[in-house]
Amino acid sequence: MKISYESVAVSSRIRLARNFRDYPFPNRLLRSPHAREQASEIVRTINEELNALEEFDLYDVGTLTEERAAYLVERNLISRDLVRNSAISAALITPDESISVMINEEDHIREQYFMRGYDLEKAYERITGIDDVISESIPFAFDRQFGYLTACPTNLGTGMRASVMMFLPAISRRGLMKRTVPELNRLGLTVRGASGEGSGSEGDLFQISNEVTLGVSETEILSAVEKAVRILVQFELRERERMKAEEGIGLKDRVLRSYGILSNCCLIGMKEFMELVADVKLGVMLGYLNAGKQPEEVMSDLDDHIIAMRPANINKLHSRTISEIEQNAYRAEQTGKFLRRSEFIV
Amino acid sequence: MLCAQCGKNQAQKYVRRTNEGEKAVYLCPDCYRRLYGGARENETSPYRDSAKGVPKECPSCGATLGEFRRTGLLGCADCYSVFREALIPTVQVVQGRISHTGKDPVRALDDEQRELEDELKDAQKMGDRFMEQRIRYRLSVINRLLGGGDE
Repeated sequence: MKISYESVAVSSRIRLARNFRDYPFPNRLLRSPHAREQASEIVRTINEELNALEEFDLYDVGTLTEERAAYLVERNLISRDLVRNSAISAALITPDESISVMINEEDHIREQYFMRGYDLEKAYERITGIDDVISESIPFAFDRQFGYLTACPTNLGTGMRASVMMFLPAISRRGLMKRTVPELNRLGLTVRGASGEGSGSEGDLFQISNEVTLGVSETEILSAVEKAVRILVQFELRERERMKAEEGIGLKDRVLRSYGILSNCCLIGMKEFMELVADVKLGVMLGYLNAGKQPEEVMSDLDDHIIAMRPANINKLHSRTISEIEQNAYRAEQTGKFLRRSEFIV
Repeated sequence: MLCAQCGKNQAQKYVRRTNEGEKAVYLCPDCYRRLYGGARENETSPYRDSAKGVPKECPSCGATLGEFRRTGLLGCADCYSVFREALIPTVQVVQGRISHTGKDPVRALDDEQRELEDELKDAQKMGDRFMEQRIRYRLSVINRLLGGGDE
């Protein structure tokens, strides 16, 4: 069985931070007596530019229900900070959810392109194309020395964050993250949990991204992240083989127990669900579970299923906020159905 | 940044008080004098003396260095000019470098402006009024993006 990069590097994301030259940054705009007018003007301008280019749906964060906002946060289309700025913030999102432009988060504009699989160059080309078009008519805050000006100096220069979500069960479970993180830091990269800054790891997922944004070109940032991904993929694949050889039947037993629980339980909370799904994914990668298609495809289906099973996504399907126990029951039922549909051969 | 009028000399930021409020223009001193008949005191660059000492607050947004130290956030693009000297050590610490390399929208607009000016001359020679009008419109947009007023 051939295991590709995408069994480790599961998704790619590029984010660009930009600001209007002539408006205060959002943290200051919030205090302005003209905050609403100025924010509306910013939203209107970006909306016009982007919708002239392709279809974007506009979300006025101030008018979103709490459930709807939580749903968008769970899908990584908007951030919690954007929701906190709801008096002035908005988001423009393409119907396929690949491009999201947050307006008046920490900066006036946070453009991001997200894709399943690993292709940072494609992600960059897509988002820089959008950026080029809007820079033809929006005066960006730019300085010869500091590059694109951002509210926080940690984003100065290119304003670019290139991240890759990585599934690292072997490195993580074998206690090797402690050794790996300083190595990545040395290469100018940061490691975060799956949900970004401040989050712990969930389901053995880690986000790798560039730390420095100033004094390095966009191409250099992409190369640095790509180099780290290459090293991590090789390391993870080697450790998976070692784990399989050393733990043998014990590992297979854990994978199949997790599969058994997910297939048959009646209630399951999010934390346990994530741990067990990570076991199933690892089982697919190691060949303990076979669904008759490429392991990467199964992994991608499982990742879609994970998002659909998050609390706000379940609420949206029910068109109301349901209790935690109802959510756990729904998650268990749907996961059982999902695994049966996948027709795994053990 | 180059002067939005002549496109040759280094621009300086001037804040002009108009009926619609304050407006920033990016011109060289010669063009500024020619266009506005000499700089009156209240219309000159508020940042001119910043090298002598860091101002207490940003004249554009009112943010102070103390606020920046508390929140980690600057208030507007002008804060970087006003507090530049004080910010450089911080930028050096967080980024490890202090000079941008990479995408440059100003350079891209400067290049486009130069190309359009050549095309404008050709259109004038050919007597192509339609093309001339289109080029002039785009040049006025570029001028606005580069910090000049609308033509």
